[in-house]
Amino acid sequence: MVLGALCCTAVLGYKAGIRQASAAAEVPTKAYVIYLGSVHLTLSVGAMGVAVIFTLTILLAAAVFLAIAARRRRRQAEVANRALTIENKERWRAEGEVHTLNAELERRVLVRTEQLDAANKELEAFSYSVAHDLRAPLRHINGFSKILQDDYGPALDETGQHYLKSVSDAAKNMGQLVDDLLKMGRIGRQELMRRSTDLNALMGRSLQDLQPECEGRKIDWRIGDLPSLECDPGLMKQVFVNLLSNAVKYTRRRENAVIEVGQVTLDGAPAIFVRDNGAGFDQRYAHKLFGVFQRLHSAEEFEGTGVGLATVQRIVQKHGGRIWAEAEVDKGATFFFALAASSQGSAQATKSAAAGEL
Amino acid sequence: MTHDEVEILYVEDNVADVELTLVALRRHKIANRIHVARDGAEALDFIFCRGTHANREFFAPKLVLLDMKLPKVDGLEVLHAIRENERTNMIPVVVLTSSNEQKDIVESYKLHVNSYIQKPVDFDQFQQVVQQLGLYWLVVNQTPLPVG
Repeated sequence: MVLGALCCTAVLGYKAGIRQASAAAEVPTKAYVIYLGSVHLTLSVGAMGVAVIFTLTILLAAAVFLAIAARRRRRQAEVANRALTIENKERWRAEGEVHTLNAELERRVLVRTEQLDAANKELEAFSYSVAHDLRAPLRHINGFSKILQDDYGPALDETGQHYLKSVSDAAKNMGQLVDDLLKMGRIGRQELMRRSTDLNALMGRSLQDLQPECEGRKIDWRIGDLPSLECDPGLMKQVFVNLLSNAVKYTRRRENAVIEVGQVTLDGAPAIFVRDNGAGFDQRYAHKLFGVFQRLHSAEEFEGTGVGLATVQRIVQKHGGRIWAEAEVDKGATFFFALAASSQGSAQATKSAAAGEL
Repeated sequence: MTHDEVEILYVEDNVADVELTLVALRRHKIANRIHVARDGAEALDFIFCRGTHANREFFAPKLVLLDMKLPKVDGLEVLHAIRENERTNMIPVVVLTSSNEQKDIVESYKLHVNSYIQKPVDFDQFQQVVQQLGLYWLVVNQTPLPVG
């Protein structure tokens, strides 16, 4: 503003000088001309000076302005740099923390794996020992009581013989328990060997295995079309043998035993079922059905160790599937199992006549 | 009985098992020429005529009945030693044991066992097994002529 005012004054002053000079020209004397010349010169020089000063001032102002702006920018950059450094440090720290956590995690996984390995080895040693050492005394109890029965039986009265028979039966029963438990333990440790398996063929082989149990029995087998599944055929056969063997066992008192096997679609997924018209069970206890050593019938009614269905459930669960049962006392039972979606192969549409009832 | 006449070498550490097996063999009139070794080391001494059996003249038994879990030298080691030696590698060896551990079965077969049998808990079944064993290996089966 001040600079502007100065400039204006200088310019106006110069113009006024010219006007005055023009007015005075009417008296053209040399001195006056010189005077006018010097005034003009003075005014010109003054104007130039003012212009120079003005320009310099402008330049100075611009320089100052630029310097201030540069400084501000530098400061901003410094602040940004500092923030960046802090951020970098923070990132390094975080990365370091991630590394530490990862290392810790890996260490923990290693320790857990070692512990798991050790537990597995212990379990294997345990089961090996059970298989070798626990069965032996049972064989001896059974063996010697049988020899006693055979060679000295006549010397005993009926009660004495009954006691001896109870001893050998008990040993035999415990032998069966040990064998079944070992079998189940083995399944838990066994790796699944999945491959595409035709359940119809598997069913045929399972039925062959059941021949001795079916001897002298009249059973109406109604076998529907079964799908092919991605599963462990050895283990899946155990599922069939167990379920079918149960069906044969629990229909023992039926004159016309009917055992049905087929496929149904439940919630859009195929499930296999085994149905019988045997003794059935009270649905209220269905949750106990698959527990180890859990039985819904007495051993006098139907023999068994209570390991079969627990084993079946283990196999199905190992395949990522589930098993369940529906039954009514004296009206038979139906066992269903469905494997995980990924293990369903070329499952065919339900063809079983039973499907309509479900 | 001289050692030369031994038909069955029975390797078993458990005295009750020995007694029950001998009863079963006797009842079915199988092999009264049987030698019982109570551990793996003794079994090898007997087979290779060493130690307490150093005076025995080598004669391969018709059958070795071998338990798996034995003191000192276990069943698999005995089997290995029998199969390693040229004079004994053709002797039929039948594992007769309590367990049906897959590991034992696989290892036995790798060592060319002739048969692997799990002793049934039920004595009647066990007697049947012993009878079949004796009949098959001592009567039905043909072995190469002894190598001297």
